[in-house]
Amino acid sequence: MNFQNSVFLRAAVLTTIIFALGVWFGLWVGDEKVSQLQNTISDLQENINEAELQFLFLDITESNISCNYLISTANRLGEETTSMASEVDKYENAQKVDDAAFKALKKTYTITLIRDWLTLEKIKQSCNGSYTIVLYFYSNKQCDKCQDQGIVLSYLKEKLGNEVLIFALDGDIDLGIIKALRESYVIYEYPTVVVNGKAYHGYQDLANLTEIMCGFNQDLEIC
Amino acid sequence: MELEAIGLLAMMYFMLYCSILWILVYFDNKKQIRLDPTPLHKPLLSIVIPVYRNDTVEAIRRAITSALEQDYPQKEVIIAWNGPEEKENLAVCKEYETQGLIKFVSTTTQGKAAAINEALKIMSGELFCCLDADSYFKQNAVNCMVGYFNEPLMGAVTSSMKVHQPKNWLQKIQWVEYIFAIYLRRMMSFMNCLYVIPGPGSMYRTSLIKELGGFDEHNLTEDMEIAFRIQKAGYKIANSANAYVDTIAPSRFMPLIKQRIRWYAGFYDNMRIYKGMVINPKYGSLGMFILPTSVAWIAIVLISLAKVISDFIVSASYPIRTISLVGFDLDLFIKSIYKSIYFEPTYITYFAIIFTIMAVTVIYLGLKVAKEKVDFRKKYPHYSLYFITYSFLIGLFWIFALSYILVRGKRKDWIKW
Repeated sequence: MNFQNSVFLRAAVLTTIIFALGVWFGLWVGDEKVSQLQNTISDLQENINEAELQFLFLDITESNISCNYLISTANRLGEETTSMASEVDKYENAQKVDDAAFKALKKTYTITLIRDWLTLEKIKQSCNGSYTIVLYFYSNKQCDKCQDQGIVLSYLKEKLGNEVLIFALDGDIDLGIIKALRESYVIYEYPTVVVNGKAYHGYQDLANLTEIMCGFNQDLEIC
Repeated sequence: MELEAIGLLAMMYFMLYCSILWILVYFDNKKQIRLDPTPLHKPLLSIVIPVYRNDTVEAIRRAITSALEQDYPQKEVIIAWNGPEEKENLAVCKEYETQGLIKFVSTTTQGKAAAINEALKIMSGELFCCLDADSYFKQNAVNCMVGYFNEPLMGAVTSSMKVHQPKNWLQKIQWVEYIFAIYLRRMMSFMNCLYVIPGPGSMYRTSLIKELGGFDEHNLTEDMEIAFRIQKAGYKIANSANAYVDTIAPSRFMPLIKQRIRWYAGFYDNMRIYKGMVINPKYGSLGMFILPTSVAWIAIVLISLAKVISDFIVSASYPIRTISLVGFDLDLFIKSIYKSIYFEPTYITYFAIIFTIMAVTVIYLGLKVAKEKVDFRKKYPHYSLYFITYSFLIGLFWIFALSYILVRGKRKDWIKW
């Protein structure tokens, strides 16, 4: 019995060591990925800062050749946003453990996204930008149709490229600005899609969204 | 942390613990694995071969010949005919009987247990061995087992079963499975916690089995039931890694399913009958470790199967959903497939690597215990088929077995085995 007890104990010690290494590995790769995502977000933040600065400078100097420049900045920002959003989205889907570092990152990401949106909104208004701005409010908790809505929006983004800028915002994130946006657009269900400032509640299929977007801009490829 | 992640981690810990334990037991007993005790004396041995009308003439002859050819000084071979008579097979048995080579008993009661019980009435061996007609002894299997009975409390000794010349993929998977079982049974023997005495080739102390009232004729797996009864009576069960018995494994899916339903439902029945032994320190490693962990393993197999299937449906549904929502668009379709197979290293990756290493180690050790050549290159179809499909198959067998348990109600003889 002595031998048996010791085997059970030794197995437990070895298992605990190998297991702990696995958990540590999981946390380590998670941290690595989060810091990689943080870098991506920081890069975007810098570019937003730069865009805001350009906007301010051109606003003060009232230079009218500036709009082309601003629009190209807007396009670049839009592309960066799309790639960052897809990175965060993929990581969120792959990661089974919901860790604190990622939660903090998601907040920074959301704030960056909103700043980005506001900057692009400002540029659009000042320079009569033709691009359509879509805010997409989703929830990871209780939303049967959010995945479908995501698919439809990805398809439109794929088709229209820089003509449409989509900002996907997680409505469950505990941030003052998200609460303010939810109140402002009277969001009571997910998904909700806001196209050029007008809110459409519930799932919007491809036909609906096409009609909505064409209502704002007849020149779009899908119209 | 989510509940799902905690559950997954607990499962990984448990699986890791079991794998490490069996590897440690191997290295603790490395020198004894091949050693069988030398018999103090060689008592009369009865070899019982239950024959059923479905057995082929060729198989019956091979089984009888292998029994007669055992180089053991005092032995008798008893053919126990089971079930309704059938001309051709019966003639083969009678032929051996008239030559005075075997004794012959028969019973019309169906089931192997009834046949062996009938043989018990006439046998004179101090020890007896059972051999199914679809199995046969290799070399001098019986000599390797007799020495274990030097110990007065030894109730039974199990053989090491191998799949006879695996031909198709199903048999190849079972070949690896049996190698793994040989390893596990030998390790369980060191820990004194064997709870199955496989039908073919195992040896029993005749007086004990008679005292215990013979085999249970109403049990689906009488060989497992007798193992529980032997242990409950305070006797031991050992395994010899040198006593090889070859058996013909089912080559088609339906007979295999049927066999497994019987095995697993039999396990369920016996666990119910002997539930008092589970988590009972009186029965040592058997009660405290093997029986509770066996139940846990079944749960793990079923949970994993459900998880794999649901994950697969979710992944596969994404590209399909995309087509249904926006129509077919090649670019988008490729992207959606990429999204559904997106890989990000997590702790699961680490454990997947660790478990692969463990599995390869255990199979390697199994091959050494079973005296098989370690030829991963030559037998790669066996191993890859085993690794890819085995856990699915076990899950599937359990689903069938549990469904059978649910629908059979009180009619225990619902399926004719």
